[in-house]
Amino acid sequence: MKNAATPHSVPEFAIIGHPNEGKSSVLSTLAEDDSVRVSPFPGETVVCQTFPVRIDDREVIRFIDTPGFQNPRDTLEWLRAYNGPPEKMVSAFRAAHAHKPNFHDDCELLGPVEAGAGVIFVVDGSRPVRQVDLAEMEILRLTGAPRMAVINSKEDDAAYLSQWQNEFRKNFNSVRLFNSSRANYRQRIELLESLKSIDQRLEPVLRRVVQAFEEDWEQRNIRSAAILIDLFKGVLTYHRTVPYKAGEEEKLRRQLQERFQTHVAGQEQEAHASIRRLFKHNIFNLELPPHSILAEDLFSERTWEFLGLGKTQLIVAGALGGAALGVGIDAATIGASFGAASVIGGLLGAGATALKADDLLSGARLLGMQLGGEQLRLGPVNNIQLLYILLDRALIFYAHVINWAHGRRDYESAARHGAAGHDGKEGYTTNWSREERRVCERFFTAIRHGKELEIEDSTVALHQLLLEQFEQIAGART
Amino acid sequence: MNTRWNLADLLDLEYLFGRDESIRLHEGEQVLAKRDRIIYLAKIAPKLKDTTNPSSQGLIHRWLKVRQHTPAGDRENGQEILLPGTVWREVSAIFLGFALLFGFASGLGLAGAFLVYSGTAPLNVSAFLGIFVVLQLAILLLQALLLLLRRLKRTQLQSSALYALLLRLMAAGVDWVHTRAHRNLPAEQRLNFAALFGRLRSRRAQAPLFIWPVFFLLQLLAVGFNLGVLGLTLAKVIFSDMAFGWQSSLQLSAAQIAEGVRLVALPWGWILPEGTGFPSLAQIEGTQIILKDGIYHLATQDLVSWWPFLCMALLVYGLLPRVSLLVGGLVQYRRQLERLELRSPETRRLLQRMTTPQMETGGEGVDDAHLRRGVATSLEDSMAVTEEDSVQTGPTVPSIALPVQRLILVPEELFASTDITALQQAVARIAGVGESKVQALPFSASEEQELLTQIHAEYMAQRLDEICILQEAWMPPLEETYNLLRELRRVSGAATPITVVLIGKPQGRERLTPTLPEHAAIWHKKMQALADPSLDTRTLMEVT
Ligand SMILES: Nc1nc2c(ncn2[C@@H]2O[C@H](COP(=O)(O)OP(=O)(O)O)[C@@H](O)[C@H]2O)c(=O)[nH]1
Ligand SMILES: [Mg+2]
Repeated sequence: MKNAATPHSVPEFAIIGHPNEGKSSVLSTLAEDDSVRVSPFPGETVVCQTFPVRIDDREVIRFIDTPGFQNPRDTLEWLRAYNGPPEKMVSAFRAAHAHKPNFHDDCELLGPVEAGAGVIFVVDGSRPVRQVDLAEMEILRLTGAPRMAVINSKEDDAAYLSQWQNEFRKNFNSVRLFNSSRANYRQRIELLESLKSIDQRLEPVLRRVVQAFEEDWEQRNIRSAAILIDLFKGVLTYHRTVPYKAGEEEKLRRQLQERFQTHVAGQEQEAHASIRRLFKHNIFNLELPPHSILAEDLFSERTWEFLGLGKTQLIVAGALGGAALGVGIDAATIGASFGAASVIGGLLGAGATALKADDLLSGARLLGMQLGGEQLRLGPVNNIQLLYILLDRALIFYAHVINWAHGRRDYESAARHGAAGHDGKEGYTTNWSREERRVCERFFTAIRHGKELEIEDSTVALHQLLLEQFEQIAGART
Repeated sequence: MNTRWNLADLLDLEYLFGRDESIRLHEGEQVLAKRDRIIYLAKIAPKLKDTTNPSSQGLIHRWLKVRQHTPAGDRENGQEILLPGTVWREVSAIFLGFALLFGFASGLGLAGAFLVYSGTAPLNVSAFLGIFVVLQLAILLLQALLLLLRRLKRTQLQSSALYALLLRLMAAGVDWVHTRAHRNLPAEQRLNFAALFGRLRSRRAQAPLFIWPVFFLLQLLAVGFNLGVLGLTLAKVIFSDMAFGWQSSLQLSAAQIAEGVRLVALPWGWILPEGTGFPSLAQIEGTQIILKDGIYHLATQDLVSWWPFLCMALLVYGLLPRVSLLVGGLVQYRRQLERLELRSPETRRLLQRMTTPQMETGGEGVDDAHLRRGVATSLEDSMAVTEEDSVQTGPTVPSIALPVQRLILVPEELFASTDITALQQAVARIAGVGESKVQALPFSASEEQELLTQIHAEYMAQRLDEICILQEAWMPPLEETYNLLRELRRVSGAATPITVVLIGKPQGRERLTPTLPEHAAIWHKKMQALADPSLDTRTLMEVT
């Protein structure tokens, strides 16, 4: 058999089944390949197509998409009547039917079987078992191919599951439930694990495949964390200074702030796109639900509210630290501005409660906007909330990306129903423990004060924290 | 009485069926059933008093007439709708008239350009004949040849190596395009195309009819042309001085020419004899043009002796063949229309809707008695029922629906768990009353073959009018399904209605459940792709 020919050969599995049961969807999810053609109309897959899974540019496993059975009964009857050498059975069948156009699909799908591929038989577990299904199972049994059954329930009807499982137990070495539009990383690994049991000879090579998958996943997380930390550093250290012109202060402030906002949004988008690529999503894009925190502008009031800080909390925060929330004043400037600065500072510190939260939230007061001499300076950000916002957005994005199965094609519904497993009302960070928050604060302070060693240490801690968070998110839905 | 369709009617029918299909999808079959029953009771049945057994074609035709006058029925607030048949009628009239005119104008133009007589040299008779008679005859001949060629047996052509090669190449090309398109098109589009081609192919009986208008157009063009040439020639002869002569570079003697002329003039020589209908030898001798001599030696009598011959040649060899083709075509066309039998799932459903009494179905239901009483008022505004049209409640309404003998096939795996009586009733609801026999459809090929044999025997013994086959819509149709349907068609004759009856997933113990619309749509299209005009797809239960 080809699969076990050499210890380093690439194992091949054909996804086989009745038309429109979700074969292509299962493959798409399993191989994390969203280019697989899936359609609600039967007959989308016309020819076998191989989808190799590459890890670090090395092919580790191959999945083959096949068309569905078109003549299960007649195929089975032919195979039963066959009395040549058993190992030639499939090729004899294909040769005998090659010229019949109505057997095109059946010949095509048995191609990989003839070539010695393992079989993953996919059925829709939310419908009853029919005679054609039994015929298909019997065909596969007669071919002698190493095979497992995968129950992919297209609907939430569990009434027929036991019926399917009973039938499968008679014919298959292994059976797994695998929902092609909900399965995540863990379930993919589990499916691969159970492939081991369908043929002993596959075990060593599949063990390596699973290991490669797991290492790859770890790598993706590590890279994601690094990408995010780069993003945070970039945003938190952002500052711009422009020459100050009397009478144009308002305009300059607005410009600076706008530039900052575009900068942050751009950086964030880039980081998210990199993460998306790491997880091999080409089509699925997190078009964020309009009412989710993620769709909000970084600095809008909405965003703050979503993060669990209501208007009143914000006002309290404002009163606590005029400097933190307000405009930092550079003491080393000329007298006139010194006076102006104290006026503003006092106003903010004492009168914060009197101000509306909306005003507090406007970018000018949030950022460390400094008026110094002839200079107008924006940043770096002196409010840790921005870090929490970025963290929350990143984690929500991450959760979406890793939980969106590649075989799932109702992309529009993502926008309608919001984040999977996340109600969108509160961010992840709101529930963080004191220690976890301290990691963030340490990072924030270190970045602001720019001490090399401290930055190094706190970055490692934040990285670790992110990895833990990723793991929690991935585990939350198994 | 023979029902004669015309193309405009066929177009209208197709169009109205299309509209009904969308009504069916949006408002349900019941709306249509009620409307057509009303049309039948109010507008058609009263006129059937004398005919005891009206033909189905006649009923459809009458229904169409009613609908053409009230295309929107009582919906669409009485707005006048332009039917495609009307458009067709107007456009084709314009085109035919235009063809005649255009032919006439070009005849005039060409003849005018040719018949310029300056008085210095007589017009050459042979050139005139060549252009206006021989050329036309040649075109006619060519057409006849092409027609013959097309009728030649395929086998004769296939024995030619060149033809075989060409065929091979073409098939390979088509194959190549087909597989390319087949692989790359999404399944949905592929299915839509297949359904469209299937629908077109299932109308193949009607397709040749639509060639006729082109034929008529060509004939009218030619008739116009000949009339133009003839008219101008006559006008020139009458209103100006025309001189015809002949010349030849070949050494033809006048006697040979005279013999030729006499032969050409044979068809009319017996009414218009030599000297009037065609020039005599002497006249021919007198009109030979010898360039060095000029025309002064030629006698005027002789010079004008040619024109009746030329006009008669135009008439007999130009105009007459075209007119006879036109008339012959018309006769043929009418005959084809008379023979046309509309057979499609749509017409069958329509007949059934008209002839099935509406049954009381609970509080909101309508029954026939209600309908009949209500017809007069409900139709008054929309259909303008006149006094004599108003409805009789008596038993005069002829029933054309003989009880059909229906075979309902149920896949064996569903047979045991299906409530047979409920199934029979449900099928009767969608397919009309009948004597239905329910039989299991075996899974194994050999048993299926036995069943097919049995069906064939029943069909031959005329104990089978209709086949219904129950299928679960959530399982997509397979090649095996098509195969079965083709086999059923083979054993039950070309016209026996076969209806695929769709049900949904079982709900508890209930088998006869409504289908999901998307599943039903897939089946509909897949079945249409089979291009069988007597194959219909219906859902058994309406979604409630
Ligand atoms: N809701 C849902 N739909 C599914 C699932 N798996 C497949 N489908 C849908 O079923 C249809 C057929 O899927 P496809 O993978 O093309 O089937 P194939 O013909 O067996 O390759 C597509 O519309 C899929 O989106 C599933 O797990 N859940
Ligand atoms: Mg597929």
